[in-house]
Amino acid sequence: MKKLLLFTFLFCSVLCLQNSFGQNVPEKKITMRLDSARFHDFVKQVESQTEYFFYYDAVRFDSLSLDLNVENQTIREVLDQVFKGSEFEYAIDGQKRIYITQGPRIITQLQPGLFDPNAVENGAVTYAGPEDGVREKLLSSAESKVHEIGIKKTKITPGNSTLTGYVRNAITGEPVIGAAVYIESPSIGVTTDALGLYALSIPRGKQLVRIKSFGMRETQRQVILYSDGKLDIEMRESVIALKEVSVKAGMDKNVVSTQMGQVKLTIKNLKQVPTVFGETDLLRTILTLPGIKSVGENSTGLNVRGGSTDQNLILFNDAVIYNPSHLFGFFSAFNPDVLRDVELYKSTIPSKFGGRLSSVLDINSRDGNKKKFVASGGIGLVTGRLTVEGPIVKDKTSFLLGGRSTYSNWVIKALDNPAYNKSSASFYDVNLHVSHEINEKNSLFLTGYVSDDRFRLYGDTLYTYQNQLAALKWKHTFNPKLYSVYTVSHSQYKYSMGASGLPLNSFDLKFNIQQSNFKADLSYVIDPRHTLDFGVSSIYYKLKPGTFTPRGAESLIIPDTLQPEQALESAIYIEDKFEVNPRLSITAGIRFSFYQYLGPKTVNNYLPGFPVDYIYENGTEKFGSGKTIKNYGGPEYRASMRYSVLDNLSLKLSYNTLRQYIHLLTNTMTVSPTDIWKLSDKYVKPQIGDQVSLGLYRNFRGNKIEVSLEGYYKNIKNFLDYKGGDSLIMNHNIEAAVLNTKAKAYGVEFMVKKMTGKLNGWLGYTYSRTLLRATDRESVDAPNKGNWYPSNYDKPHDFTMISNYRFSHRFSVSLNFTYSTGRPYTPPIGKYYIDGAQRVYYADRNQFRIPNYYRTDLAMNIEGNHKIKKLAHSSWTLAVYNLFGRKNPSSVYFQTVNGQVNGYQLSIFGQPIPTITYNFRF
Amino acid sequence: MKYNLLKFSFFILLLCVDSCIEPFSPPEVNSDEKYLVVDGFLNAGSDTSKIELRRTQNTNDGSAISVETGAKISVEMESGTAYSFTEKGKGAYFLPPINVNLSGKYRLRIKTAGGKEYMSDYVPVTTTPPIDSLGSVYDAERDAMVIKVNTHDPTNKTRFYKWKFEETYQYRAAYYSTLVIDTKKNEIVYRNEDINLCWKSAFSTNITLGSTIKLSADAIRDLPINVVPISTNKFYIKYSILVKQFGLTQDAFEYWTALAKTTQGTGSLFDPQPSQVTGNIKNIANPKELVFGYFSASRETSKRIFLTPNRGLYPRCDPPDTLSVADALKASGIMLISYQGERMDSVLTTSSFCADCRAQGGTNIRPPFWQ
Repeated sequence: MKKLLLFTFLFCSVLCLQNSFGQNVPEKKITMRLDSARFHDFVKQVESQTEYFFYYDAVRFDSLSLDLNVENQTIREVLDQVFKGSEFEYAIDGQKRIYITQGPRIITQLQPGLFDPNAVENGAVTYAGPEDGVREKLLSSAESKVHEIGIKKTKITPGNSTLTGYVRNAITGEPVIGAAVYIESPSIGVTTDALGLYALSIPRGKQLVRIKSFGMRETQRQVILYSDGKLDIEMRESVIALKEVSVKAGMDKNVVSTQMGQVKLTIKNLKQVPTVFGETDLLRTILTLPGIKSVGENSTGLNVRGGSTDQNLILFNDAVIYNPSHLFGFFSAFNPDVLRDVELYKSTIPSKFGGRLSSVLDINSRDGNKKKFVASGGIGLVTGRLTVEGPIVKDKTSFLLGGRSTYSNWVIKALDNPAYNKSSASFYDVNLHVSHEINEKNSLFLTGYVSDDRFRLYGDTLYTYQNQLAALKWKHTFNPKLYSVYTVSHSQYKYSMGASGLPLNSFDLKFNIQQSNFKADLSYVIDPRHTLDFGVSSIYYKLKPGTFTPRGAESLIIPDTLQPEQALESAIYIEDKFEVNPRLSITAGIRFSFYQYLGPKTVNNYLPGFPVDYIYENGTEKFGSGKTIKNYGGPEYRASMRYSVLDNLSLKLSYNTLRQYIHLLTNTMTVSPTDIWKLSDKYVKPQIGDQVSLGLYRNFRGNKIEVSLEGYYKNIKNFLDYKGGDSLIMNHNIEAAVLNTKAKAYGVEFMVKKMTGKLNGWLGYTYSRTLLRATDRESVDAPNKGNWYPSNYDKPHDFTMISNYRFSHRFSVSLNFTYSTGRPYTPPIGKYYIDGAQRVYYADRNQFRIPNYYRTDLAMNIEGNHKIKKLAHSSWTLAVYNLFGRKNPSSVYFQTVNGQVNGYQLSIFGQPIPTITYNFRF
Repeated sequence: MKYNLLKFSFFILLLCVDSCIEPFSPPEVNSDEKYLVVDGFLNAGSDTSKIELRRTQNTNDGSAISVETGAKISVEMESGTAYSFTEKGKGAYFLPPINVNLSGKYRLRIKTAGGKEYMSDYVPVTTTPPIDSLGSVYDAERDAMVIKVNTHDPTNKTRFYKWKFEETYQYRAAYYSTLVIDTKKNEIVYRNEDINLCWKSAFSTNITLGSTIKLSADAIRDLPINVVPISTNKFYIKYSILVKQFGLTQDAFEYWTALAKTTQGTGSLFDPQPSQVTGNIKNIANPKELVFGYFSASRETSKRIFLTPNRGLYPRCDPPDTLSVADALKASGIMLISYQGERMDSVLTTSSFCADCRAQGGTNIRPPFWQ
């Protein structure tokens, strides 16, 4: 709007231009003394001393205070002095009007010869500065240049054409994701996709295309659109900071998009949240968002809206990661230096994702710097990390290599207790990301990731686990309306446990799961109102559920191997984004997933008519290699709708169904590294979930404050719980140890978010319940007599405050507070004597709760100076985790001592934990 | 395996610097409610039925098992015929053999002294075939004797089995005491009672179950019901085991299976989720009240075998002390073995553990069944 006004002024000035010529009266000189005066006073004085009249936006000069001492100077001299070093520019036209603008100066003259009839054929309407030098400069900048797009015609036919292209960072060449590309009249806009690509369908003719993205300097392009064409846009970062590119969707995305239950966090947001060991932690930050919980403090297993930890699809550059944590859950497996952003979908899950019920966590790494070599890193109390990046072929190919490792052993060694000295714990992870632009229409991305964890307890049991993945992504644009992404990936997760304490009992236990994945995702812009996403995907699973072998020659362990499992999961989907009118938009999709559990395998049979229990096992059935043992499949519906009630108020509704064919089996209270994944088979049915959610979104203060209120109700069929007392490790009848339950989850999430300004952060409150009930309510194994009971992670109230106050560009303080209801547990509540022995009896499952959880964290970020040219940019983070040292019990357990059952509570971070981290970048 | 998992939890402990484990006993967890425990069954054979009523206790209650006295117990047929039990002390109630209708259904009714009334579901009568044989085999790997049971039901009706046993063994004290102090006369006299050879009995504490549901014939072959390590010395002289066999309904079988799984361990960080196991008895007025135990109607069949594998070691003790007769008369709590050599002025003495087999819990009265 403001810009439009400026153009009106400009137009006025053009009309008056002719008249003003020749009035060459000697200028009045200005004399004034100002001391901390407001700009308004300055203007008044000048206007009273001269004939000049000011045009400016008073709001912008609110905070400007002036000290001025001039004597007999011209207006230009005075203004030069006033605006020297500021971002304001002034322009004076022939009518003695002064226009003060922020950013580009107003050009007060038209291009000479503009009204010469011969010149019209040049087509473009251009504005030129009064002086040749300025004009040159302006023309060379992309903003002022008029881009002619398409096949040039003398007469533009009415109608729409599509403008496509990439939005990139001018410095690093990285794509800018989620940037809003739009025109204001008529109001048409799109956002760039994961590759920075946009496709904007707008009326042909002269248009001003604006590009906005959080953390980037706003820019615009003047185009004359003749027909479909391409325009790549480079944007500059607006902040001078370390390599913390903050990319965010349009500011009003909260209200405008049809997506709901979607949260996007950039690396900058992540860095504000203090963590226990001082390092930016993706999963821990995710846990501060409404609707997301974990069982315990030491666990990074996410429970999203009442789902279990295995119901989250965790994608790292489109390849699955099975165990997203390090060091038994104390760290998340993602190196903060290589991350660009993470997007979490918890209610509207786009049709292109599937295979997990609760959420999709889409984690993207940055592309390497395409222009120059950069190194960055950090040193904390427990970990150190280093990232190097740079061009392989300038502007075409870049790499990003990041590594992280612990030197945490000293923490353990430093403890007084000699028992700990034999223990050790370490991990590392390495990321490699190579991006290559073949040509305008084709780009390739290669990602490699390896993580490794090992810990040894008391010198005799070594636990190790590894994640490995490789992904190759090819992005191909067929034409401006149709583009595609093909991904091939392979992920592997394995763990092993080696005990060598007693030579006779030494053993190795190993588990391994691999998946090979192919998918093709296409996007087709039918017309400005319809965008069609469609694609196919296929995953081949190969799982070795367990091998148990003797370790060393003396061991008497009898080797045991569980049969490998394999399966193929395929899906096809199509989804249409339909903008019915500017107020109403609808996204509807269907995904059809199909699952085959494949041989070779010998399957246990159970007596027909009896419960699936090992006591009723009855023979086996052999299936040959590649033979289908069991098929599952069905449609998944995805629909969402957004209705804008007001400009900054919208209502969203979504409905989802999802199917999950792979399950994590864990019947211990905490996530342990020996949890095993299990494919759906003849007995373990796929989990099927459906969710309906309703949300209200309102932005205040010019989109600076986002408020959202979401409610959801969710049903899950075939949710897995466990029968009392069965072990899951090396169990040949695993299907007999699991219990099919029906789950229902519902809740309300409230969030206020302010991500700009000196004070930023968010407040979130969630009320939620997750209840389970055995499918076979009559069975003896049905917990709580077949009635509803809370899940292990049912924590009704949850409140989080993340706040950050920026005192200056170099110093900020974060204060975070978390409260949640204690999680449920099942205590032994009595004992009795029956059939010749004492028995302990437990309360109904999960009817008691551990004490509520409160925690306050404080962190300070101190950045080095912002000189562009210096050896290293550095920053310090000082943080105190659990500032008040509250002993939050992370678990309770019971032990029988002399016939009495005693309870104990275990708090892991029961005292303030101060940390210091040094980050640097060369 | 489990051992290692338990140790794993120490890894967490190790990361919390000190004293992050604290006692945890929220008051609301230990309710004062003492629930009824019903232990027993209706004997459909020719033996007396016994039902014991007890009460649950708090987990940290160290006192003796509390029993429920003064209750009225009866079993009722579907037809309405009822038979009353009579109480014979210590919460035990007995019913003389009744003429059980094998095709009928029975339920248990309990009226406590406190006025609460409990009732079980109707249960069918399960027949129990006789035990065909008991066998024993030495397992070298475990260095233990394994007692096995064989049975079959030619009518293929029983299918679910539960066993209990009572084992009895003979053992000796290390030294033979021939002398005893006559406290009245304050002199040493010859002992006329054998306190060197004893019999000791123990009841099964594990729940042993078996099923033939997967088999084409209702036959149990060589099912191990007791594993006795040789190191217990139960097999040095003579060992006897009385195995009692009960046929169960499928429901009862599942109840005992669940109970066996759940109550063997207690919860630690990595232990599987516990679950609550209750049976088929309910408070009539308040069906939600917890009642423990499972009522079934079944015949009990039993078989006893004697084993003399002569495995193990003769018991050993420290060498006896030699005391003068005068000192020995003054000393208290000692056992006299015999006079020292030919001299009659001193005696060999030892502790009661080494010379009195009763000190180890057995009895020197020969059990009536002992052969």
